[in-house]
Amino acid sequence: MSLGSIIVLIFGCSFLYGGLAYCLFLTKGEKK
Amino acid sequence: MREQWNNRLVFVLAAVGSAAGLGNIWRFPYQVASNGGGAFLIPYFIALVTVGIPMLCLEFYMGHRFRSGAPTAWGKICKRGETLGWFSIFVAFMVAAYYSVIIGWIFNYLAFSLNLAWTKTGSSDFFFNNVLKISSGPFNLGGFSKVVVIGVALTWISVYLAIKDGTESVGKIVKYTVALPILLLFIMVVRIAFLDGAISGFDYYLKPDFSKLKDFSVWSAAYGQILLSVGLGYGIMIAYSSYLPKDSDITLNATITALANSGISFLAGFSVFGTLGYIAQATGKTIAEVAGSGGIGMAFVVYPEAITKLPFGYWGQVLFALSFFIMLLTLGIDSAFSLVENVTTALSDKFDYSKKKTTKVTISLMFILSLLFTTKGGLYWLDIMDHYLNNFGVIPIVLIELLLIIKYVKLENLLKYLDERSDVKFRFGVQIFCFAGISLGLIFGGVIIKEVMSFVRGSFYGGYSGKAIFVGGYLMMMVGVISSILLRKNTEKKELVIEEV
Repeated sequence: MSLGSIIVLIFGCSFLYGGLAYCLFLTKGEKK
Repeated sequence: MREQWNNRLVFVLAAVGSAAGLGNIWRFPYQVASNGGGAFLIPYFIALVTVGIPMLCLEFYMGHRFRSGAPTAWGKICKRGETLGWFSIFVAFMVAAYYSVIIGWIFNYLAFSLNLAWTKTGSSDFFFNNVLKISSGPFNLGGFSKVVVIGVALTWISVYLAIKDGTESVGKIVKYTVALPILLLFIMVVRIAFLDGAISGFDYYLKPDFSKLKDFSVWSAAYGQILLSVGLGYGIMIAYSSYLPKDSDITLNATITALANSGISFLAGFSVFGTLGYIAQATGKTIAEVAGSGGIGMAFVVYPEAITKLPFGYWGQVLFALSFFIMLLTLGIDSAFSLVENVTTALSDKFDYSKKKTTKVTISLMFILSLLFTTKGGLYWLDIMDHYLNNFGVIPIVLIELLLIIKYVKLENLLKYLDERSDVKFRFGVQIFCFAGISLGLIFGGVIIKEVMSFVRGSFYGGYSGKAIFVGGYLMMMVGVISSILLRKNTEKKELVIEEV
């Protein structure tokens, strides 16, 4: 796998799954 | 009292289930691979932040604030807005009719997976000639394909069972229809990653070509992908958010929904191109040669063919095929029932009909309409209608929604409403929505120019005849617009009578 693809993989995962995890963290303890 | 979602998780799962559908598997990975690989993610993420999330917030706002389906909600901000709401219901109705047929094929393929039935004749021949029994052209309907009718009947029974008790039954089922496909996708990706050639497939999928970013069509593809993938424009998100409790955090829910939807797409790409990478290496072809061009062909021709070449042995291939089609089924079915739930919400809200009866009548009508697509010429009509409903239905609807909000609600008031209820505050909200408006305008402008050019040249979409495009495209859209206007005028008269009494 090329370096470019690895960078994209890390970037994509961080943005999508990191962002999602952060949003889910923000909902912690809330019922809204 | 209006029914409500049991809790926030159930609502988010329902919204994610609706947004994430078959396009996440067969459209997104191909868009990435053919539009600059990883470089495509830059315009895609920009589109997600500038159009996907804001417009989802806008639709959630409409449902949440007016606590009703699309026509009633838009009718409350301006009388003529109700026409837009009915038009989005028309689009949802038509899409549900043909989407159910695709789910029907998946039901068929679940059965075919048990003995990998397509192996004998080749997957392409099997799909087009044995399953669809495809005719020579759109005007040659040639009777029904019985096996597809059975699949479609199973789809509508499943949809009815899923939505018969409204948010209660939807809430129960989405836990499975969202979690299961993600789990299956994940298992498939992990297993595929260990195959020879899978890594070169991943490379084909993600290798960035930044020179493509200068190309306007790549940006247009990214915005189009977000717009059609998030499930905007059908009224579904308005209907679903109308069942939210009053203090719900709209912005955060919209962000989670949009990110989860894109996350599923991103994951799916590894499953698709990992497999294709292995097949390319095993057969000595290039990935481009084995990949095809996505869409229906990917799910029912390319991937089934690929499964029979995986080094898992016969029963391993059967298990893999079952996993793939169960994943597609669970991913698609919640999008299908959200379209129907949206139509029943709109009708029962506007006319005060019993929701249960409305559900039964709506499903019966949709089943009858879906029979058109189970004919031997059905695939042609499905293709034409899908093109026109997306390009001349969804895209202008979302654009007009934003314009109505700007004119009648004002962006400041929308942002104030969102920020008051959210832990996440909008920054540069007005600028983002204005940018969304410009982007949507450009995309729709591009769609119109393309259509006019093809009209002038006499070379219509998909190489179909002008007659087929007129009936399945222009005439269908005209019926949609006229019926939406009539529905609004009809309800206006009724309201007048009630007021006079």
